[in-house]
Amino acid sequence: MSEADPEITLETYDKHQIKIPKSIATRSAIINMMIEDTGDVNEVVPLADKSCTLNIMNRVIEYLKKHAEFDNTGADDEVINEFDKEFQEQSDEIIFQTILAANFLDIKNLLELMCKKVADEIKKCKTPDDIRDRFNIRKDYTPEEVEEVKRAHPWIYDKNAK
Amino acid sequence: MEEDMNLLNIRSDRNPMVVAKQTDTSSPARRALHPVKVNVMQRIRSFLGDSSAPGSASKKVSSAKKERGSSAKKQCPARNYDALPSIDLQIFYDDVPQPARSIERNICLSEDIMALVMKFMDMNTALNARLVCKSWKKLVSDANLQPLEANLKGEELQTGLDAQSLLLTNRRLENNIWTQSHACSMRTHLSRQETVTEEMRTVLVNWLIEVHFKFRYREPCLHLTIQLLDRFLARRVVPRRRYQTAGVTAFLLGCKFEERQNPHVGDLSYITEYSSTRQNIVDMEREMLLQLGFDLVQPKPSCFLERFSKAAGLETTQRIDGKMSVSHSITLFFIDVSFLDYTCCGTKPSLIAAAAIMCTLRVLNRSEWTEKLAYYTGYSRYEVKMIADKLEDRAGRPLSSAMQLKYG
Repeated sequence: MSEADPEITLETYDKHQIKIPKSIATRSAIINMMIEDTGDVNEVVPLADKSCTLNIMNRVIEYLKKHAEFDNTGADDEVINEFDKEFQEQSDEIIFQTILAANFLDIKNLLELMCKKVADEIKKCKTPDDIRDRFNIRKDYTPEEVEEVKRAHPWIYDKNAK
Repeated sequence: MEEDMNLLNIRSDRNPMVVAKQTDTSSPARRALHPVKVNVMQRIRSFLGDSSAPGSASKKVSSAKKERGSSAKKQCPARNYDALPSIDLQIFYDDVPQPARSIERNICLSEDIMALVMKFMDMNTALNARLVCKSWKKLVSDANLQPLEANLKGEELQTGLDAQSLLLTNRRLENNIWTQSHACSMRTHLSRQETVTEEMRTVLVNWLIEVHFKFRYREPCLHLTIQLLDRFLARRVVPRRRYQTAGVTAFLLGCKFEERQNPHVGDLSYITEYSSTRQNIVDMEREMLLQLGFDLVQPKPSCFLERFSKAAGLETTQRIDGKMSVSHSITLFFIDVSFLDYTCCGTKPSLIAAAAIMCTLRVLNRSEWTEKLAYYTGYSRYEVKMIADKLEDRAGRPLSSAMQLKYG
């Protein structure tokens, strides 16, 4: 690595150390802030959020590296979309962890990408019950309240019922 | 002892959301404390691990725990769990192995992230999501995916509901009528004519727009006129010299159907410079009604316009001083453009209305196609874009005389 782009050492939540170039690390607003705070690139940056495990961080860094590469080479939208799509295809566990990590590290693109994936998953469910089953959410509506919500927009829920 | 264990269990099963909130508020300094405390609590947990064993075992466990708790940190008496500070709560949560699902649950209830997720949903899904749980319902309304009448009450709400059900009825009707074969026969309706050509249709429609404008009738009348003319031509071969008669008769029927006062047949004969006599028009009227099977009511662009413009956030017609709002005039202009274009004949009226709305939004430099519009029109951006591009291209060419008169 050249002097202009020193390596930053990150310490993940489960105590592993990852070295990445500064140019990539600073794509995360929070790491950027931490580096500027200490002013010393040799210092280890601890990631205190429990989502930032080695496994997830490796994926996040893969994403950052790829997108840095896209930005530098000026890749086509198609290539980027393809990578993004592949990146989205993961188990729920990883998706949710990645969202938490992206939220913590303040990486806007990644956060939006993964949120979009969740939205797509919700879209696949046809009824509210499906959604509750899929995401294991407790129902806190009483039947009367459900009716009230439905009554406000009858045509929509009638159509869905058909 | 049993009571103690119960307390512990309740604590570890506590709603993850509560815990998550407490984590959020904890300062970085507190987070840094984690490792130390985790060690302490891990040891406690190692005792708690076999807590299912009743009787003496659990007694031993809790007494050991008591020892640990008091010796490691004289922070709280071991029995009084309610006095534990929130950070300890967090550790309990961390340490007790949770099923993988609970993380999802945690995230699905975290408001910031779900608000982001909701932004990517389409309207239908979002309305389903409203029914999932209370916190989601709140988020959906925040995510600006509300139905048009969401904020209205009483009579206004009822009007909106009626308009919506009318729209749905029209859409259903349209889908029944506009089958593949119908669209095809409309698209090619002049090819079966022996003497009538595309240019003649443009001239006639242009003339009809002018006549309609001179009579100062409302828009639906014109829409019906053009529709009747095209439908009639699709069913019957008309000689060239009777083409104008057909046009003027369609206008007569359109007026009879839509307006309070219909023009005198003599007047209509006069505006064709007596090329069609009274008798011609009356005969043609009978012929046309028979050919169409007296089926005059079909969805036309004007049926959809009001609802679509409302969804687009455009002003709907204001007829207080007899003038129309600018945006509505632009929309009507684009619909008239579509009438002049023979290639638009095979397009569904609702799609034409949607395309006219899109063109209007372009002219006004607004965002082209929102989720809301996609939901209320039922057309995706790409479907509409094709027609909208065509209309825009057509509107870019020199205007016909009637259009200049009407919109100039």
